[in-house]
Order: sequence, then structure tokens, then C-alpha cells
Amino acid sequence: MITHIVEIICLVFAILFLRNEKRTFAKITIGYLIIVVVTELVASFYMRTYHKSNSWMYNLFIWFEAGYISYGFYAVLSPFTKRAKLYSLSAFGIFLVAYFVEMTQVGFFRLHSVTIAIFSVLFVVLSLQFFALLIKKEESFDITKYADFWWVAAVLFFYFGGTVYNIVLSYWINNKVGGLKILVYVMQFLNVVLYFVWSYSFLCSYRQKKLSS
Amino acid sequence: MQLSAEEIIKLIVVGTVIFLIAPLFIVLYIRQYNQQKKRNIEEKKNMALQFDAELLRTQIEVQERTMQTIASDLHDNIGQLLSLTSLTLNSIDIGKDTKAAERLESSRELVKKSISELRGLAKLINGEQILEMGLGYAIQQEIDWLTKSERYTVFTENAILNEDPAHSKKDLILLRLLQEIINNILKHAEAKTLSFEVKIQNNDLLLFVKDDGKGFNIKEKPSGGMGISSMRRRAALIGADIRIDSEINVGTEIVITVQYP
Repeated sequence: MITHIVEIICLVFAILFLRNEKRTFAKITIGYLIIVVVTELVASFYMRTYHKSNSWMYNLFIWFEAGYISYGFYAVLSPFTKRAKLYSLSAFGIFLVAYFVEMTQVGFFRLHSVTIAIFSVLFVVLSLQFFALLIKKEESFDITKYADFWWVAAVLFFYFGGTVYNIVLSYWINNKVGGLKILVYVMQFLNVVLYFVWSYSFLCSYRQKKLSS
Repeated sequence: MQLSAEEIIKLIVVGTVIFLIAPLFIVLYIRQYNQQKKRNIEEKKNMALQFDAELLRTQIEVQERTMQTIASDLHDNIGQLLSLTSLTLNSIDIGKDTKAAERLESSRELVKKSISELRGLAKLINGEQILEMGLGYAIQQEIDWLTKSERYTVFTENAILNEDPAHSKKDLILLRLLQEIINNILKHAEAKTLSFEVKIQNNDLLLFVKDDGKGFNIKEKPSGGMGISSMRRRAALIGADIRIDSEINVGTEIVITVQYP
């Protein structure tokens, strides 16, 4: 429930603050957040109504997730390096390979936890790459108004913070031990962090736009 | 090894907290680093402004100094020569004076000397233009002017006379520092002998100035002139170091070292 609320709030923030942005990334962000909200609501409804696993929905959803985050890194890394496209496409390429390999091993209806763990690592590496390039830059920046910085920070918090979650999730799927409830809480907490920081990032983007206009 | 549910919960909670603290540190570190970078940029800007202001002040001082030199040369040297020429010419009576030819010749010599002095003076008119000929040349002009006064025995070793002009801002400040050292010697030192040495050694320019004057106590603040602290501040702008050794009744030695060019 908490996850749904923060996701909807984040979508509202995105629509409010990004709707007039000309940047393609802003438009894609709104689209992606709509997909997030719809997926979460449908998945939740499906599980409650039919009492069946909704993992296959998330297996579909991670296509959008991996695609959006990869494109996001292309957008935020572009001002710093010419290799932004290469990094972004490589991350998405590795995701595709991992996805299809896992599909052949576990099928479509079981959650692709290894693929999720792999792209989590990739996104952590890309986040660190962004911060390294930011530090190298000669000019300073206003951290309170730097939308890209907070977008990447949110990604880093979510995927790096979710490392233990991903490991335990794989372990849980294989062994069916206790402790699933705590995993739900951890994911809820990580989602709150991700969507809260992203919302702040959209606000920064709006402020930036207002300042420059 | 099978973990109990409680252990798994502990592991998940502690692990997640640790994995969240790490990115938090990264964000805080970048914030701190960025603030430091901002401060450095501000400092650099201020230093550049200070440098420009000091450079402007130096340019004005060099011009003032040049004007003083011109005024004193016009009054003491060329003025005297022209007065003497006028007197000599007035004393000639073409019809009666048997020494007229001799006096005319003398007047011609005086006029020639005046022209030569005027030419020398013209070279000094723009202090910065001298630097276009190189720092070695500008330093030599200052020393030559001092030598010409015949008040001092001057020893000079100028090893950079043929060096190309290298760094106009640095050169201007170095020239101004030398001018102020000479000014202090003229005003306070009561010296008889002066030694100047300028050379480049291992990419460092070394300027030695030594006098046999009355010296002073470095710990006491000498009055007048640019002042030692001000000279040091100005030297610091170009990364130069000033070493001053002085002994009462023995003399003073000043060494300026700066990376060059």
C-alpha cells in the first residue's frame, strides 16, 4: 500500500514538474512512472483476486525498468562523456543476455531474480561512474538544484541498498525459508527512498527550468 | 548451514542498513567535495582580482617612477646642459670674439650631448615599453640610470640581457620590486657601493642586490616606501620569494627568487 502511495505521489510530481520540459528524458520519465503505477496496481489486484503468483508481470515490467534506467544514464552521462550511449547500451545488452539465459533456466513464470541482481550491479557501477565524472569536472554545482544528481543518487540508494534484498530473494526462491515479510518491508522502504528522492529531483528540474527562463 | 528465520531477518536488516549507509556517505562526500571546489573557485577568482588590482597599481607606480626619472633628468641633466649651451652662445660676439669658433664648437658638443640625453630619456618614457625589450634590458636601464648619477660605485652582472621577453606580468612586478629596492637604497641606505646580479638557474630567476650602506634591523618596520611586507605580498602574487639580510653598518643583501619564465 505504501509503495502504491509513493509511486502515485511521484507520478503526480513528475506530471506537475516535468510536463513542460522539452527533454525527452522527462517525457519518458512520466511514461515510465505511469507504467510503474499501472503494473503495481494490476499485479496487486491479480494476486489478491486470483491468489496466484504475479512474478510473470514483474518479469515483463523489468524490461521497462531496465530500459528506462539505462536511458536515464544515457541522458545524465551525456554532458560528461561521449561514451554515454555505449555505457547505456552495454547495460541494456547485458540485461537482455541475462534475461534470456534466466528465461531458459527458470521459465517465464518464476521471478528473474538473477537478472534483477545483475542489472542492479550494472546500475550501481553507472551511478558511481556518474559521480566520478562529476567530481572530475572543474566547475562546481548547486547540489540543491541539480536534478540529475538526485536522480542518480536515488538509483544508487535503491539498487545498492537492494543488494542484500536481491541476494536473499534468490536464496528465498531456491530454499523457501522464512523471512519473506521482512523482504516486503525492505522493498517498501527502498521504494519510498527511490520515489521520494526522484520526486525531489523533479522539483529540482522544475526550479532549474524556472531559473533559466 | 541452515539459517533460522530470525537470523535471516537480522541479516537482511543489518545488511540493508549497511548498503544504504554507503551511498549516503558517497552523496555526503560529493556534497563536501563540491563545497570545497566552490570555495576554491571563489578563492581563485578573488586571487585573480587581487592580482589584477596589484598589477594595475604596479603599472601606475612604474609610470610614476618613470615620470620622476624624466623630471629629475630634465632638471638636473638636460636642463643644465641647455642652460650651459645658452650661456655659451650668449657669450659669443661674432665680430670681436677670437674664441668664437671654439665656443661654437663647445656649444655644438653640448647640444649633441643634450640630444643624446633626450634620446635616452625617450626610452624611459613608457616603463612598460621597456619590458617589451625583455626584463634583462629593463633591469639594465634602471642600473644604468643609477650608474649615470655617479653617486655610487655600481657592479653589475646581468646574465639575462639577451633573454627574450617572457612573461609581461611577472616582468612588470619584478621590475617594480627592483625599482623599489633601488628607491629604498637611495632614500635610506647611505651606501657607496652597489652590486647587482641577475641570472637564471634551474628555471629560477635570481636577482641579487647588495649595498654597503648603514643597514637596518629587519625586525623593526622601516618607514616609507613600499614596505617589506608589501613587497613580499606583491612578490607572492607571482610566486616569488624575497630574502633580506641586513646588518647595521655593514649593509643589506636582497635576493629575489622566482620560477622563470
